[in-house]
Amino acid sequence: MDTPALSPFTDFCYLFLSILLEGAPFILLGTVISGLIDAYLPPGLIDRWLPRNRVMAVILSALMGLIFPVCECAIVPVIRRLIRKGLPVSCAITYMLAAPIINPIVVLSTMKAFTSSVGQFSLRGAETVVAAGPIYMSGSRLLIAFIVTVGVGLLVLLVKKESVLKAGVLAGSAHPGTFTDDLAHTGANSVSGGKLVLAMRTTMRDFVDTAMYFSIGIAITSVFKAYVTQDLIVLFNQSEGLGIVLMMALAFVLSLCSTSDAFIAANFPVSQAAKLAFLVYGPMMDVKLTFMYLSVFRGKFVALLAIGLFVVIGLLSYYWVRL
Amino acid sequence: MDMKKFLHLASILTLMVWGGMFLYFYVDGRVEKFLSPSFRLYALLAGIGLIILALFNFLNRERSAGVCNHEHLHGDDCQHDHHHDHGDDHGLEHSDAHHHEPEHGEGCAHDHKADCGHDHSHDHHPEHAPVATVGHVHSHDESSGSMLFNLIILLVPLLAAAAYSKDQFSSEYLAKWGRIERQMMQMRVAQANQSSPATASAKADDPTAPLTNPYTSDAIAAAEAEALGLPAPSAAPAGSAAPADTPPGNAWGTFTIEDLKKLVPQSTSGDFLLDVPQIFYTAGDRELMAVMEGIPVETTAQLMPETHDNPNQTRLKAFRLFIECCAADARPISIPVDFEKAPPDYQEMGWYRLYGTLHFVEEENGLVPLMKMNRIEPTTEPTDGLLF
Repeated sequence: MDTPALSPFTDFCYLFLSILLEGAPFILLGTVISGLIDAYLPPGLIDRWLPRNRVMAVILSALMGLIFPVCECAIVPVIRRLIRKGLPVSCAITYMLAAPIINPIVVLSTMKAFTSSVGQFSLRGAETVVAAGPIYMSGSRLLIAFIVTVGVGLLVLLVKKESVLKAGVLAGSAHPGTFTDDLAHTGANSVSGGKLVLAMRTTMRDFVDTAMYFSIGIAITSVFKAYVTQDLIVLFNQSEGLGIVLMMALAFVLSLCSTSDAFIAANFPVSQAAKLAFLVYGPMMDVKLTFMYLSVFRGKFVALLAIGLFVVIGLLSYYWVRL
Repeated sequence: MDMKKFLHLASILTLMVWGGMFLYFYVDGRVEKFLSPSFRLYALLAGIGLIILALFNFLNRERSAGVCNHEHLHGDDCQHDHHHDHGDDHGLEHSDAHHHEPEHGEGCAHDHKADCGHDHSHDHHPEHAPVATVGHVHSHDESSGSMLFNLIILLVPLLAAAAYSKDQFSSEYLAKWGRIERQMMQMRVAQANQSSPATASAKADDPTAPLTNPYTSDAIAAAEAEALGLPAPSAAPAGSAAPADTPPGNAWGTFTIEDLKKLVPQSTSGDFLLDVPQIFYTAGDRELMAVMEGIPVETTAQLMPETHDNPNQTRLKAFRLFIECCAADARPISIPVDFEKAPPDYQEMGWYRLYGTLHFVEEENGLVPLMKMNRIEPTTEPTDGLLF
């Protein structure tokens, strides 16, 4: 067998393609949902469904992932469309940040990761690595994510959406709920199947938009994994605080899917607090998400969100394990 | 063909390329080098979905002819009426089709004539204040440029990566991340020894106590209960033999070579047939290590240079790749294999059948499982070359 010429560049190509093949199906799913929302969800309906009390609405949004589980790749186009359909920005951001964690699939994968992450290799069927069990880690992950996302939602309630949303998204959300369904889609309805045409066209446009940001994000992640010399592992355990910071930085760079990140965290030789920080921060903010968020939010808001989440999640994780 | 139609068709073509690429990877089998089995079906469905989406939009292109594919950047301060009647042929093209009135503000940078033929995909409030101030951007050139950029970003990296990917990692990559795996395992074992839960720690100071597995589900449950402030669940006494009907991992008590023989198949010559990760994750389980120290082992793995913990340059590294979801999370699980003299000629990254004895040694960086080699034989990549 001749070994092909391998290099960091071929590693980059391999990494890039693998993340793309894994993530793009979920982006497509998200954009199809986005297209259907655009065509079929009457503006104003969301407003009628949501509790009048905005705080309750934000809390409810944090739990919506339990009913509508969406991973972080799929959620960005979905919330972009929901905002344009009148979902309050505070609720949209809360749902966007919470759903990739507070959903049954991720709960199950976290439980599995902290019980049998390498169980198939364990000769005796016993776990090899964990210091705390699956219930504690899954529960902590859910609770901290809930607190953080509701907190962010409540804070967003206090600011003008102009300072949060990009102009293009803001235009669609500027006057939610006042347009009737008929008015909104007169042209589309005038021809048989028009709504479907609208839905598919929106899907295509949203896919092109979202996948572009996704591609840039995973390219950066792949460059990191392929080119950066990794001799940092000792640093992770020099102190708990540094471990938390580095694990969150790692989560940001690696851009893992929230359904699989627990498998990585479970095997890292770091403190529980650092694992928790990794598990909560990563699905809310990473390289690919940063670029995807920029398709919806203003750059300044994305930067503040990244920094704010970093600090708050780090502190909460640090103190939570001490309670 | 104007730019808008071109971009619309280019978008469709891009989806076709993406969909075709997904289908190609699936049908060709390349996907097996990238994704764990549970994700491969999604890749197939995505390929089919993208092709259908592209075809649908292509077949309906006349109904969406001239889509300009941009968002009209109206801010909240868009304080003018957009109410004018579009031509008959225009209705469908407006995704949020509506009537614009002709009172455009002075700064509205484009002409909303009847055949403008583009997508006004925004919801307009019916009660725009009729003020001439225009706070929005209607730039077709800018949007077209942005759209073109999107399509280039979508196509170039994908096609380049598909062309240049060798569907495997370089030895530098495997050495880098494999070393991290090794270090993590060593630190994990060290941590477990320092603060291992329940059964092991309770007996750690008692030299007469039998070795017990600190990683059983009982031990984990005890640690969990401790963390939650709950009373510890009842567990089988450390050192007691597991009941016959107890599943593995619950309460092993003392572990014997007979137990190992029940768990691990042996070759005709008596070698235990173990995968590298099975050996790797044995480290730290004191009962297992006590029983497995010195046993004859046969395993199949790839070989590469051992760049660390190789004081006499007598070692190579045997590794297998373990993937949870996709190759980006691949973990090179490796053990050193020691020939006690200069290693024989071998092909780096080649597949070999390895015969030797298993040992657990304390290295500078911590505990490591190691094979002392009797011989190696070149072989072909097994059907489960990647472990999922």
